[in-house]
Formats: sequence, C-alpha cells, structure tokens
Amino acid sequence: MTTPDPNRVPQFDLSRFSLEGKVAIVTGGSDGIGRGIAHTYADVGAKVVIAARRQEKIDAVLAELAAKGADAIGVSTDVTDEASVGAMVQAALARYGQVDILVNVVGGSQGPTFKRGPLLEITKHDFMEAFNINVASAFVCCQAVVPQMLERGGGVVLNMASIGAREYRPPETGMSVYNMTKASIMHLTRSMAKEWAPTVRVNAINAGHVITPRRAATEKPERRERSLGEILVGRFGEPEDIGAAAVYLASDAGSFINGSFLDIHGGN
Amino acid sequence: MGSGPFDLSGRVALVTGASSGIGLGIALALARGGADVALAARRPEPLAAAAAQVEAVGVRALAVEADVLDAQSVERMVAQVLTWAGRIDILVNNVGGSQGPSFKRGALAELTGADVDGAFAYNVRSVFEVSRAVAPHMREAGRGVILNIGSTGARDVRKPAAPYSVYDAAKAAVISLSRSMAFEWGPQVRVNTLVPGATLTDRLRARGPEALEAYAKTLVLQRFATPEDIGAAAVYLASDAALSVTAATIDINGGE
Repeated sequence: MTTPDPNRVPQFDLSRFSLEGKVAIVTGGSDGIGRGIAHTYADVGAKVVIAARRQEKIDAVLAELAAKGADAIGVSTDVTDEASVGAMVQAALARYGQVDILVNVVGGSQGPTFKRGPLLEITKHDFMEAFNINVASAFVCCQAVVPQMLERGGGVVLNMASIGAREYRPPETGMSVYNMTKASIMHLTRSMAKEWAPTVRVNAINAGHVITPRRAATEKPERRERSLGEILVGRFGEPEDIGAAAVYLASDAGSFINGSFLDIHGGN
Repeated sequence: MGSGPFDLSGRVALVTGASSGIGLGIALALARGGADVALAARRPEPLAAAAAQVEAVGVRALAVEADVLDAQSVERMVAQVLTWAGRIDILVNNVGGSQGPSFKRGALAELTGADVDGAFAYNVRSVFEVSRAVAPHMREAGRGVILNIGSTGARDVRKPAAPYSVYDAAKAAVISLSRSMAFEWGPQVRVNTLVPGATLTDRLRARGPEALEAYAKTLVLQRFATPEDIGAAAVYLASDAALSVTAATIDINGGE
C-alpha cells in the first residue's frame, strides 16, 4: 500500500461530463425521451431549445425547466419541414448565438398521419410517412444546424436509433417499417460521422424498452408484459437513462466516440 | 465533487493491468470520479508508481501484485482487495495484448498452436479467472459492474489486419464472453465491453513524433484516443448513469 500524503488536496473532477454553457436543440423535447434529455441536459448546465410540434406541451416542459432555474426556449416546429426547421434554428441562434448539440429525438412507430402493422396491412403512405418522420426529420434538422457547427469549429449530433434495428433482435411483426427506419438512422449516423469529421461528432443511441407517456397510452398490456420479461435488469428504461447517455456522448468525456451506437436496453 | 449521475464516490474498483497505458488511464479516471482503486499488475515498481498517481487524486489506492493467469494468485488478489475495502463494486479486466513473453503475433501461417493458446489465455482466460473470482461477491452485494476490453479488429467495422488476427479473434471471444457473463450474472452484475481505437499510450509514442503525426492524419478525427477518453467511458459505464446499460459493446474509435 502507498503512504498517503496527509496534505494532499483531492482532485476529484467530473468536469469532462459537464455541458456548462453549451446550447442544445432537442427535437421531440416536449415528451418522453426528448423531455428526459432536455431535463438531464439542463441539470448539467446546458441551455436547451425544445423543438416540438405542440405549443402547449412545449410550454409545460419549459415551465418545468424554469422551475429548476434552467435557461430554455421552445419553438413549435415541424421537423420534417425545411422552412419550419430553418425558422427554429434561427430562433435558437437569435437567442443563444450558437448551437453546440443537436439531438434528433422525433420519431415513432405510428402517429397521427401513419399507422404500423403487418407488412400486408399497411400502405405505401404509412411506409413513406414512417420514413419521413423517423429519417428525413434527422436529415432536415442536421442540414439546418451542421453548417453552423462546421463554421464554428465544433458540434455534436445525436440520433435515436432503436434496439429493434440490431441484429440480435428478431424482427417483430408490426414494427418492421419502424425498425427499418432505425436501421437507416444507424447507417446515416455513420455517414454523417464520416462526412463532418473531424469537426462534428455524430453518434446514435439504440434505446430498448422505455416507457414513455405515448407508449403507456397505446401499448397493449400483453406486449408490455412480454417486453418486461425480455429485460435482464428487470425494469423498463427511464427517459433519464437515455438522458445520462446523451450527456456522456455530447460532453468532452465522449470526445473520441464518433460514428458509434450506444445500446441502452438493460440487457436484451 | 458533485453528486451527479456520474459520481463514483464511495465505490471500490479493481483494475488489472493498471500500471500504465489504458489501465492506468482508467484507474485515474475512476479515482477522479471519486472511487477508491485497487491496481493489479505483475511488476511491482511501475505498479507502485501508478498507485501513487491514483492516490494523489485524493482517493485510497492499493497496489496488488498478481498474475491474472494463475487462479491462486487471482484468489489472493481478490481476498487482499476485500480485506482492504470490504467489497468490489467495479472490476476492469484490462490485462491483454497482441503479444507477450509466451506468445507472438504475426501472419496466420507464421504462428504456432502455442501462440494461439498464449493469446487466448492472456486475453480471454484472464478475464474469466478474475471475473469468476469477483462476480460472486458482487452478486451477494446485489450490485457490481464488470468492464472488459475488446479491440477494433474484433468488430466488423474494420478489415482484418494480418499480425493481429489471433489477438482480434481472442478479443471477439471477450466480447461474446462479456454478453454471456451479463446474462448469467445479471441483473446484479452489469457487464459491458469497451472497444478502444488507436490510443496514445507509451507503446504508440515509441513510434516517434513524426510517425505519430503521419498516423494521426490518417484518422477520421485526426487524433488518437487518450487513456483519459477510455477512462471517461469507464466512469460512465461504472456509474449509476448507466444502470440500464449491460451486455453492450461500446466503440470508442473516433469513427474509424
């Protein structure tokens, strides 16, 4: 054993995990995983721009963030629409002067404009709309944000993939198109990581079963029970689990992680 | 020192191969996160120096001379750490390498069966010996984290490189073994694999500044990983921030 120096000064230092002073756009930040990331980011010092569709949900999260003293704004945005995204990014730049982090959370297996289901029961419209919401949205947001990051000399993009796109997960009827879009996100992440290196790092998170309000409202109890049985740690993921990973990947602590996929599935 | 999700205050870590390079980087990062660290290695002098560096951070450090290929030595090591700290929350199996005193690396046609046995013992059996000695204590305590080290060549993102073929095969075995350990010992014990890209250690520095600079220019991020970068990944995975991360393989390769 070494002899302790009685006069030593502790050098504990987790500052590499800080996002102090960073500006982060979180799409889909008004709900579920996006809201979890917005909160976690605010907790480690980031200024947060919430880009989501419904103003009343944005306002609710902004009120939560304000209550903890966070600096945040929200912009009602259609992330599949270039003009709408452009206006959102302009609002972010007008308020904060820079965007350091873009987290593309918007996505889903079904929505107001498209349904999921067995491949012979969905339409081409469902197929294309899933691609629009899950893949084109990330592309559009990156196109609006990344040039500014390249010009300023740094930035981080995080995309949301899914464990459903991983080879160790068997295909699930009804989730086929969603999982295909998330496989697309994985490859798109690697392409972005290569094209924008070394200035902008791009990574994806493959989340497992996370209980979001939307999922709680729409999922059948049998499927939920089955999902829980698949998780080694015996509990569903929390939005905060994804938030903590998003902090690590966006912070200096994750500065050599690029073009990578981080699985957060509790053992699956 | 905050109490954030990455905080390791009060945790006890055991890092093998901790005298230098990535092992020391991980030991120092865990210490800066607040963990007490037991450092294990074979040679006493560099080990003592490494332990002094860790202690200078302000945590408790223990230097343990151990041969991770010798089951009895491993048992003694684990007993020593438990006597010292009462428990082990974090185990980092960092021992490993593409060549050693008893085996060489090279093109497949140039290697012998003994080289293959040597590489698998050093990289795979070492993980098995230490993990099976530590995991029961973690399971009994109700929590624990094991981190193993893979190699980029063991991932399908990289083309095979001749002298590393057996080393990469052994590291592919480590990745697979990690997932098995995660499922056999979970949910109490989380097990993940870190896969570092080219990391700036003394071994890499030995190539000389000009060769290093030329090499760095070929990399996507135009720089090497530092032992601190790998250490930061270990802090994340060992902390409560990663309570939902197990049976996962994390690439820290700069996008190669």
